[in-house]
Amino acid sequence: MSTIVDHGYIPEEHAPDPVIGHGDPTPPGKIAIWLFLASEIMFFIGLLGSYIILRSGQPKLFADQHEVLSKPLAALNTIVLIFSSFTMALAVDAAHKRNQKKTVICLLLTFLCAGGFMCVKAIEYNDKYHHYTVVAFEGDKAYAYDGHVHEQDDKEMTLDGYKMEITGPSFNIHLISEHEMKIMAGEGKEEATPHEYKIEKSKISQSMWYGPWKNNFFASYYVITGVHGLHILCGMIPIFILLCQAARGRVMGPAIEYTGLYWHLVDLIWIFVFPLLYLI
Amino acid sequence: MSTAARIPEEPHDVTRPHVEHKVNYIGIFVTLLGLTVVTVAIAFVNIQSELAKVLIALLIASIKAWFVLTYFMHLKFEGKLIYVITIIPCLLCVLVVVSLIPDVVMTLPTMKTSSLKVFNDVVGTFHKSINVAPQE
Repeated sequence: MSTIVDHGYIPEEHAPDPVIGHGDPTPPGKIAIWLFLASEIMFFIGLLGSYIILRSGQPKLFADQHEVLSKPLAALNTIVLIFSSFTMALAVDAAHKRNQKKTVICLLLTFLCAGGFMCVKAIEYNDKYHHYTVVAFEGDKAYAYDGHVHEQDDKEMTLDGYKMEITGPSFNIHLISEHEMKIMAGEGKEEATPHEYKIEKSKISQSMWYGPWKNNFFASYYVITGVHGLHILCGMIPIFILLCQAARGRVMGPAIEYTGLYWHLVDLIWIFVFPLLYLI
Repeated sequence: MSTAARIPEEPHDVTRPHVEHKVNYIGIFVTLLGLTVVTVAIAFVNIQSELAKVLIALLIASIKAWFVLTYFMHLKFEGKLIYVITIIPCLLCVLVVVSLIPDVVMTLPTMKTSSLKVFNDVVGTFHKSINVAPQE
C-alpha cells in the first residue's frame, strides 16, 4: 500500500476523488485499464477453453499436427516478447523518474520488438501458406503428398515433401499430418528425407494449404495466434504515439504506465499460448 | 470543482505523488528467460503422459505469469481494489477450466490412437458391417 503525505492543507485539485472514495490513492485511469485487462483475460480464457475442448476431443490429432509448427521460431518470439515487456517496464520506470532519454530508448526498443514479433509471425504464416496436402492420381493408384509448394503454374506444381500411397478404404485430407506422412513414407523409421515431386494439376483430386480449414488444430492455432497478433498490432499504436511524444519532450508518465500494463498482459497471454500451441 | 483551479498540463502527474518502487527488472527478465528455456527443454524430453506434459507446461507458465503480474505490472505495490479486479477474472479462468474437466475426462478411448488409423479402422468396420468391399 502506498501512503499519502499529510500536508495538513489539501488544495482543490488534490482533494479526495469523489468516484473512488476518501483517500484512495489509485488513479481512476489505472482502475479503468485494470478493468479492461480483466475483460481481456476473460476473453482469452474463452478461446483457450474452446482449445481445451477441441484438444480433448482429438488428442492424437493435436499431438501430431503441432509438429508442423516451428518451435525455434516460436521460442525466438517468446524471448522477443519477454524482452519487449522488460524494456516497457524500464520505460515506465524511466518516465516516472522523468528521464526523457531513457524513456525514448526503452519505448523505441519495445516498438521494434513488437515489429520483430509480427515479422516472425508473418514468416510463420507464410510457411503455412505454402504448405500443401495434395491427393493426386497416377494411373489407377491414388497418392497423398504433403510438403511445401514454392513453384506452381496452371499445369503443374512442384512439391517438396513426402509421398504416400493411399491404400486404406478411406483417406481424410483433414486428418493427415506431415509428421504421420513422414513416418509412413519412411516405413516406420522416423527420418524420411523429403523429395521433390512434380504433380500434374489435372490429376489432382484434392488439395489444400494449411489454413484454418485444415483441421481443428489449425483452426485454434489461427484464431488464438491471430487474435493475439492483433493485440500486438493494437498495442504498437499507443507505444508509437507515446514514443513520438516522449521524443518531442512530453514524457506522459501515466499514459506510458497504462500502455505498459496492457503490453505486459499481451506478453502474459503469449506465455500461456506458446507452450499450449507449440510445445505440448 | 472549478476547472480553472486545475493545472492544464499533465494534471495527473502533479496531483499524484509517485512512490518509488525498487524492482530488480534485470533479475526478473533473466528469471523469465530461464523459465522459457526450461519450458522448451521439457518439450524435448520424452514424457509419455499427456496430462503430465500439460500440467508441467501450465505450472511453469503460471510461475512466469506470477512474475510478470507481481513485478512488471507492479501488482505488489497496488491497493486492494486492483487486487480484487485482478483476482476475480483469474478465479473465473480457473472456474472455466475446472468446468471443462468432464469433457476432457470423457474422451473416447479410440481417439487416443493414430488419427488416420482410427479413421481407416472406423470406416473399415463400417464397410464390413454393411458388407461392402473397401475400395482400393
